[in-house]
Amino acid sequence: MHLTLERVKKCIDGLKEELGEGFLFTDIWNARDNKSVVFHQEYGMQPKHIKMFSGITGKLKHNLRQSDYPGLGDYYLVNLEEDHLALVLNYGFTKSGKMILISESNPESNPILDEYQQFILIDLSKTSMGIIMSVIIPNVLKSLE
Amino acid sequence: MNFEHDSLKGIFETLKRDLGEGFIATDIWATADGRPLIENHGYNKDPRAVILFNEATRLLYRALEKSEYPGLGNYYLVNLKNDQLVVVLTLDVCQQFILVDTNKIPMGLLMSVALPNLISSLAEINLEDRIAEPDAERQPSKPETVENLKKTELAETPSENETKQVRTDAEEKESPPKESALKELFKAFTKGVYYADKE
Repeated sequence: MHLTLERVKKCIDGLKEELGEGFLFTDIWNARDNKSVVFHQEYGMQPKHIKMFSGITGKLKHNLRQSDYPGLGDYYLVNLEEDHLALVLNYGFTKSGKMILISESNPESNPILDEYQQFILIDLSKTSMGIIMSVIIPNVLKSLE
Repeated sequence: MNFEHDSLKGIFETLKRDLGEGFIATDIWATADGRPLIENHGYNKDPRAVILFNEATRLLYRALEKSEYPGLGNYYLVNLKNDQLVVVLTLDVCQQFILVDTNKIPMGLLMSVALPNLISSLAEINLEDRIAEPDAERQPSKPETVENLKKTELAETPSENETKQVRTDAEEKESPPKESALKELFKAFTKGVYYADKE
């Protein structure tokens, strides 16, 4: 497994620090089997919710592939009622263990061996969209490198 | 061409100007039937986008509705390959997608200037009336809101759902009036920026 415990810990610590009270919880799972790699009762999600968001990601990917639009990139972000925000990141690791963005991967020259998805639930009343787009997303992806 | 149509065109011209070279496409349509509110989809060279994003909204709405998570709010964003970003505003009876090239527009400008400008302009025109206007060549259709997708689905399986429907109606009567989607959207994108006093 390329997503090491150190990488996961660094990512979650960074999220908690940057989002402060805006951080509600997060989970990371292998897209192949929907198994969580965050073994933490406080941050983890229920398997049925992992399956749900994995299903949404899969359907979005499928629908975009069927269209003339570019494929799904590194994330999608859904505003929820009660001022919540669901952020779903999508990334992978190459055979050599290097983290790679989906947007930069290429099945021939730069294939992904293991693909992961990460869900982050955010309380928007405690942070802003600007911070999420320009700080949180780039930093989470960087922390997993 | 009526006043509302001209207003929408004016709003989209402003959006194009705000986004500059970052603008790729936009379209606005009735949630119920995908009918574009701008003639010939106006600013969208690929009308199939409406089907694609109407379906994506439906997917998100239904998945969230069945879960214990809060329901779908007023927007979602999808990052695409080739540095493109789709913003979908899920307003009450209509939806709008905006496709931008993130290489050509700073994210801050999109989030704090272009989207608030668009949302406050949309709030000034009566979109519901525009949707309710039946086209001469079409059968008038009952507007279906994103909120009503829930009711539509419930109606498909009567036994347990009839109870849920009654409960939903009762909850609607008891709950205080909901802030308009556009007002909530404006607040979401202007939090912490100088537009805040415009609310």
